[in-house]
Amino acid sequence: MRASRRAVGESAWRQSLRGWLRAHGFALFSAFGRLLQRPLDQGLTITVLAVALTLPALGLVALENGGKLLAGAARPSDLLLFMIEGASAELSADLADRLRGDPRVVAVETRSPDEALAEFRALSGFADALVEAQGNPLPWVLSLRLREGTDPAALAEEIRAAPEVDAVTFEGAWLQRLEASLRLARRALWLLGGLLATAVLLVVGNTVRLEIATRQEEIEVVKLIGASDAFVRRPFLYGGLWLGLSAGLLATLLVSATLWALGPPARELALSYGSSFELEGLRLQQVVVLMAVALALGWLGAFLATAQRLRAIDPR
Amino acid sequence: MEAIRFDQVSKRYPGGQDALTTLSFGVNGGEMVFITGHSGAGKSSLLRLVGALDRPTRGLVQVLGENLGRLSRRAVPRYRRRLGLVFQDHRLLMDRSVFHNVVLPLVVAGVAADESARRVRAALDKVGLLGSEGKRPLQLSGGERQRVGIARALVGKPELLLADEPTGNLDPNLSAEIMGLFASFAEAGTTVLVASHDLALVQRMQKRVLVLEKGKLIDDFRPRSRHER
Repeated sequence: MRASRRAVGESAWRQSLRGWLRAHGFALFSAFGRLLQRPLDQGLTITVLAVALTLPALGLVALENGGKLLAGAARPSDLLLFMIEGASAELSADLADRLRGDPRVVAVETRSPDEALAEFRALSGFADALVEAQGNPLPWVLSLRLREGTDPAALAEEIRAAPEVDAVTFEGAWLQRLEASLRLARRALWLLGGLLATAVLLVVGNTVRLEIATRQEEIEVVKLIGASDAFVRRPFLYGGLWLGLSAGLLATLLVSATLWALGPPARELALSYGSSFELEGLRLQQVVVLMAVALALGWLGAFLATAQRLRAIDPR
Repeated sequence: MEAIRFDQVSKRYPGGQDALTTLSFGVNGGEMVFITGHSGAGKSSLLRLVGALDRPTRGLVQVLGENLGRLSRRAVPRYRRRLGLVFQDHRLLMDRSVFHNVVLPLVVAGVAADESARRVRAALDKVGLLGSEGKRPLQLSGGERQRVGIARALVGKPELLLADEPTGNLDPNLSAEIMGLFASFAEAGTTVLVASHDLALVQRMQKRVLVLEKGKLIDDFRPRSRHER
């Protein structure tokens, strides 16, 4: 009675959707059940996968933190201009105004010798000794923020020609070098990540291949009973997804634990440089990306392992 | 309506030996037919062709309206779901319960859980094993295992039941019991094809018998009981 009413009340595609969902639900949970059947083996596999995912993830987080540190520092396009000794406040203000009129300059900030001394005093303990010995030896300083695309070296040369200017330092050189090293590190990390992703694929693929080998008999029986290739394959694909999911979660945990452990010493180091830099942990978006990568690799590894092998098993 | 039609069918395996040569016969829907012959006579080859496990080298194999020689690879699973297969070595999954073994065809067909459970119990009831659902095949006797295999073949309500030496490992009493079970399915309208070399048992069942020898059909008869003679 009930069955026939259901058949009348539902369209054919809803019934087939229901059957499809049932088949997928079955595959999903039977795959999970098998994961729990051999906890030690599977646990070891998952740990290997998690470590392989943790290394590049940590590298990326480190690079991101490095980038953040650089963004806080002066930009490579900034110039620092030192007036000659004894230059007056008016002279410095005049020069600052002239430079503000230059289209290549975005902003000019002037710092008096007293301000500079106060800053120096705050950062080190030598200032008092310095003042006692010679009076304030520091000159007026102008710091210039340049428009994007301006060649800092050329402008520095130009400004240095002015008689009231003692020296112009182009702060960017070391920053440029550091940025180049970061780019190199990023490239190296992508390559390393690619290698480790390949390792994840191979480990998942090999695990699934072993699973297929131990369940050959079952696969034959299910095929005899009328299971399609897709039906036979599905639990293995879900098995790959479960491996990826577990490994991704464990990797997230490992990365977070590592960052948590490194946080306090990093803060101490930053403080000793007078910076309030804080090591940044995994953001939600990064966790999502990590999980997506883990799931995709798990699925793909299982997909590749099953592609040929399951077809090759023909029932006797 | 003919359930099975063989027309000039030959099967040659790679390696060269002819398993079946120019075989022709028909089986009506709801009929029960035995296939006998010495081992190597081609009984299993014949069943493999009907089960779409092999394709004929020559000739036409038409079963349940399907031309099996032309059946695409993708269409084979759907066709097999219309069959029930029983094996000599039962081929149960030893690490699963009786229930899980029997429900397998329904899982493959995507039947809902509550209906599956009901049908599994009905099938186990038919083979007299209701109450053993939770046991593992290893806890059962040989005859009981074979009956679990039959319940599995039965649960999907097949149009055609194929059994390859289903009583090969059983004592005579159990064998007769199992053959009786098959006969009752045929009476209920299922076409039943049983390969067996147990001639005495086949005689007693008084069903149609096809006799194979070296891949050829050498006899097609229906034994009569003694008082009919």
